[in-house]
Amino acid sequence: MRGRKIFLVAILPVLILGLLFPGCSKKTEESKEKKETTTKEAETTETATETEAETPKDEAVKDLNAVQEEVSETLSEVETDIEEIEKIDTGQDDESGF
Amino acid sequence: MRMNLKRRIRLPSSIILIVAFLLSLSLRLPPDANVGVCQQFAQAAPPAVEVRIKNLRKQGEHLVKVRTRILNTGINRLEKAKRISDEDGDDLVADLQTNIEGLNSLKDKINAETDFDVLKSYVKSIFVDYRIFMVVVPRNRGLFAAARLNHVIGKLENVSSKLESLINTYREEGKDTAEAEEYLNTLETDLANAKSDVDQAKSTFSSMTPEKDEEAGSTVKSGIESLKEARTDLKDAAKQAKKIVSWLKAID
Repeated sequence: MRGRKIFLVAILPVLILGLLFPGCSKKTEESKEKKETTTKEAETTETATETEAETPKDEAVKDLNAVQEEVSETLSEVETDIEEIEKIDTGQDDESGF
Repeated sequence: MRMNLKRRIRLPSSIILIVAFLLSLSLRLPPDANVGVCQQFAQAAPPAVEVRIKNLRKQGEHLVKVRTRILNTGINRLEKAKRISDEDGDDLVADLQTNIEGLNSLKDKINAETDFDVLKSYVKSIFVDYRIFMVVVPRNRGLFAAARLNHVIGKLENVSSKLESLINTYREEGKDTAEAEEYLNTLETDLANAKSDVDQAKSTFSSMTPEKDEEAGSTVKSGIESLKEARTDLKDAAKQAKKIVSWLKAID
């Protein structure tokens, strides 16, 4: 008797509601996805706005700063190359004795 | 007096002893003993040559090992290098690999050779036909440095063209761009000089071959000079670019 009461009061309404609104949980997921997409789109738009805001002058300055570091590193590598070429022991190719 | 007497007795007695020993030996030996001794010497000769061959082979193997090690170090360095074009990198690696392959096949010949004189010529070939230290390594390293400088030239050329179009825009807007244009002209001249120096360095280092071993020292010096000049030009070019950027910052 008690079991039947619990079934009627607690479980049955839930089952009925579940049958009436089957897509409810799916809709929640979909709405979550939509929200995320909207946020991402908003972020992309913001970034695009930022890029648009960068003037050719800013871009040139930025480029030069990036290149400047690379140039100075590469030139110092070349200096090392030169020093190492000068240090090569060419005497090891002396074939006297053969 | 006593000493002199002792010496006088010792000398003849030692001579007598030596003569007696030799006589006893000759009495013991059979009549054809001398022929046997000669044969023994004759048989001892071949092992001496074998030992010489063994030692020469060892030396050859060591010489090849030292050279292939340094060439492999060069390949590793090139494979890790980021600031050179793929084409330059591939060419330089291929050059080193060709030398490694040549030396390894020479090592195989050295290991298989049984004639001392031929073996000697193979070992000599490690020096004469390859000149790894005199020619290959400096040539490869010099061309590597030139490739690096070419990369810098490319980067600065990009910056230069962007700066040029900016200066043109400002000129069209009616701003005074004379100062910036002067910097840009110097920048372009520096880049052109660097290009020509790098080309010179490339052609100098590329001309090095094992056959021209006597010129190797002076060729390397001349190639290094070109590299140094290109490096100075590029430093100056970078300074000019900086000056233009400072001008740009101040103009608005």
